[in-house]
Amino acid sequence: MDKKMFLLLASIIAFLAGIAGYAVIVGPDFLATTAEARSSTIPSNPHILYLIPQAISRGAVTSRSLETLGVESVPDWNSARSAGRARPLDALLIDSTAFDKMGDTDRQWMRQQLQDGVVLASLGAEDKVFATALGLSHLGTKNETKPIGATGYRLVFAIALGKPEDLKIYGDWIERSLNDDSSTPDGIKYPIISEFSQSRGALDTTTDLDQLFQRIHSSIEEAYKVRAEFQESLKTYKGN
Amino acid sequence: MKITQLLHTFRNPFIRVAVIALISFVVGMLTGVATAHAEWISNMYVEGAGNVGYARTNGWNDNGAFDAWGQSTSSVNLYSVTAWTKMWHPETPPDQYLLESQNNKSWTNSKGGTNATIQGFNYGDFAVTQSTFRVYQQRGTTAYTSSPDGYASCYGQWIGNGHC
Repeated sequence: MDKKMFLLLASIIAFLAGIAGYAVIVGPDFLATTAEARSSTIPSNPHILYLIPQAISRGAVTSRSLETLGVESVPDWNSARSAGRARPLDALLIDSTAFDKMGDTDRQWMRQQLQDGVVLASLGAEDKVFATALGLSHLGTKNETKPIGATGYRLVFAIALGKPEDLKIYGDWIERSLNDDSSTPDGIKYPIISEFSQSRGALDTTTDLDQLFQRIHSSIEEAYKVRAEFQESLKTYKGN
Repeated sequence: MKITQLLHTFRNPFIRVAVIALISFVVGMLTGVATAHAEWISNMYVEGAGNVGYARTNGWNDNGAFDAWGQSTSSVNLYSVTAWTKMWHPETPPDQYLLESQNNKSWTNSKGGTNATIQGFNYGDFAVTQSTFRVYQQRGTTAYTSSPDGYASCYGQWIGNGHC
């Protein structure tokens, strides 16, 4: 065999074998890339709003610092709803001062955003305030006592996809998730995929802010991924 | 003995390629080990379905963050499969833990899959996954895996309430 050809062949096989070895250890997501989008692909500029009634800073968070991260600031709930109507939201950041000005319509709208897989983050609000606004029994763990604080955040993301009749049976799955109850009610006929995630952190430094946005973008990507995964599951489902 | 000398001991070029491939495979695996710290349970017995379950927690350090995901998969469709992963941070006093992040993914009428990566940004963070496999609502199997491997693979640590 020609020496050059041998070297080329050996290099290719070595490369592929290396990748295979890596994949065996790291697992099936070793080449995972950005998830597929709700309609086509995840937008290069996800629609992220910051609802802040007055110009204040919260740790490293200011309207200006968020603007550089592609976030649009709005002063009230009405503006947030209008922005969401113009283009579906991917994430909504809510300053704690906005909860004081929240009406029933706003509350219902925010809960709908949660159901639609929009990533929600409260900045500087205690869990009780955020959980009540979302209609949830609690956030974090049931017995969590450490305050979020004026420069802390809570991020929540939830999505459940299934046929409407099955989702009705699936019921209050977020509450079950918060209470570590992984049971599934009987009688669901087709695939359902649901995902609930939450996290907490600080906003004191620019590093903290970067970490918050890592989590936001990761959840946004996940929302698109789950939507694609659900469509695929319907195609392949042939019954148990 | 150098690798080149070793390779020259094989006269057949195809054997040389095979040796190179084998070495690369091992190097790839070692790189993977350095990247990911995974604990898994395979061929897990699921009541009513047999040895069909696979549970896993994968974690790795990423520029000062600790990333992890959980996995619950079955070789056959089950009524319910869940992979719920929590990232805990040890607090003071000892044996107190703060839930820094969690991701609960559930599949119904499916073989399950992998949940999203969650991130911890504080020293000492660890991840634990509860994997459940159910043929019916009440019958099923639950397993716990964690990262660092085996560090917190039990119900007590999954609920942040003490050692295994």
